[in-house]
Amino acid sequence: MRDMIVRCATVILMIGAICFYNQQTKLHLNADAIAKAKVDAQNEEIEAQNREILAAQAASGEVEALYTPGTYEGAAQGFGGEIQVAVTVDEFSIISIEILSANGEDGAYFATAKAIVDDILEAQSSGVDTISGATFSSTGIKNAVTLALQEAKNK
Amino acid sequence: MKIFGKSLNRKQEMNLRAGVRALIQVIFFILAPSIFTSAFSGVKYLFTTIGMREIVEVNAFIKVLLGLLLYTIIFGRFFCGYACAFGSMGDLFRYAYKSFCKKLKKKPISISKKVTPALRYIKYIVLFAIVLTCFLGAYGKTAGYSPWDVFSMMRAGNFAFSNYIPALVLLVLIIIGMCLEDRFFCRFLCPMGAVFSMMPILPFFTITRKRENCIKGCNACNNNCIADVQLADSDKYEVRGECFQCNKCVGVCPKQNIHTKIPKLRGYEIWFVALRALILFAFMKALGI
Repeated sequence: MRDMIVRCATVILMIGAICFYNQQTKLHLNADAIAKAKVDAQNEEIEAQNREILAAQAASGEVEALYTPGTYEGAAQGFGGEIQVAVTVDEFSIISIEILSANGEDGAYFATAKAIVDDILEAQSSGVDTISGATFSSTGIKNAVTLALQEAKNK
Repeated sequence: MKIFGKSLNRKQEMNLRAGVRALIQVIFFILAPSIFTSAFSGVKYLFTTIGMREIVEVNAFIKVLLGLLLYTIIFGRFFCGYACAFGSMGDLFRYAYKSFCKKLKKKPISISKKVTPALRYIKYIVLFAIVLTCFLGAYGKTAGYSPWDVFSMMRAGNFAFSNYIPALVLLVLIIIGMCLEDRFFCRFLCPMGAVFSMMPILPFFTITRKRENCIKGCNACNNNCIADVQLADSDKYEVRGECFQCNKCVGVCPKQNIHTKIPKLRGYEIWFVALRALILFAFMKALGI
């Protein structure tokens, strides 16, 4: 019985410690986050202005577009098989990435690997770090997107 | 026991139980083989994140980990005995080795029972070492060493092992160990098993024996237990973190004295085995496996 109590206490303490840790970390990161949000908002404004300038330049023939607008498919080896993606682009940006199929990927690993899609969209490039803990699957997604983007560039 | 009106003798009954267990192991191996690695990835993620002073999110791995721990707290280490792809692989190799020995009329090797109870503590050292590596942010450096990675790769038909030679060597050594001793890896080395064995497993479905009904000086159950578990007393509330429900004790007890704390529930009824397997499967699928 005492063994049972010790084990229960340990589990409760561990969960409590992690929750407390999370709370403290959140407070600590919140201050940073407020400052970061300000900078991000400024960057977003500048990015929007840049896109307007680029669009105008592309229209007048001054600057070459990065991509030929459209949706392009790419496929690459993931953990257990091929991962197929569809990437939609306009002249200068990656608009969206859709994963068409990933039959050979394991449930929890693939769910974690999909975060790389957000990373690629934010960086507007497939040259991002793979997701640790789901290396194979995220590398597959990354490589498939790279191939699709190459298609978009070459057309 | 009766099947379709026909009475089975003791041996036939135990063979049927073993067959049911093997079938469930095969089903999990084919349909949900990544539960053990996903859950342990949750452990690694937890300590890596804390080491980086970031917030611990309840991601896919953590969900599987918590779900599996909850299941284990209720039903004991049924997962280890019936659903873990790595453990099932070990059972298959041990069975093949023993069959081979039988054909050659040689006695299969086993590690002495004087040594095995002490060896079980190594898995806590393995767990601690991995957790520490994660906390220090150095787990990435161990890429290419995890035997679980190459096992998962093989099972997925991925044979690109050029960067995984150390892992391959470790896997071969583990398989040799699995041949020479029942559940060698699970009992002595498995870090996930170490986590399970520390859980406050509720007493309801724990395998127990009523000491008053035992034959004096028998101890057949403990002598035959492949996990070195000393069976719990049905009158007490005891946790047996090493038991993974293989039910070998059930087969050898001359007085059919093995049962759970639930009245009338022996714990090894085939319908109860199937029910637990079904609950585990559905639960894991719901968590994203």
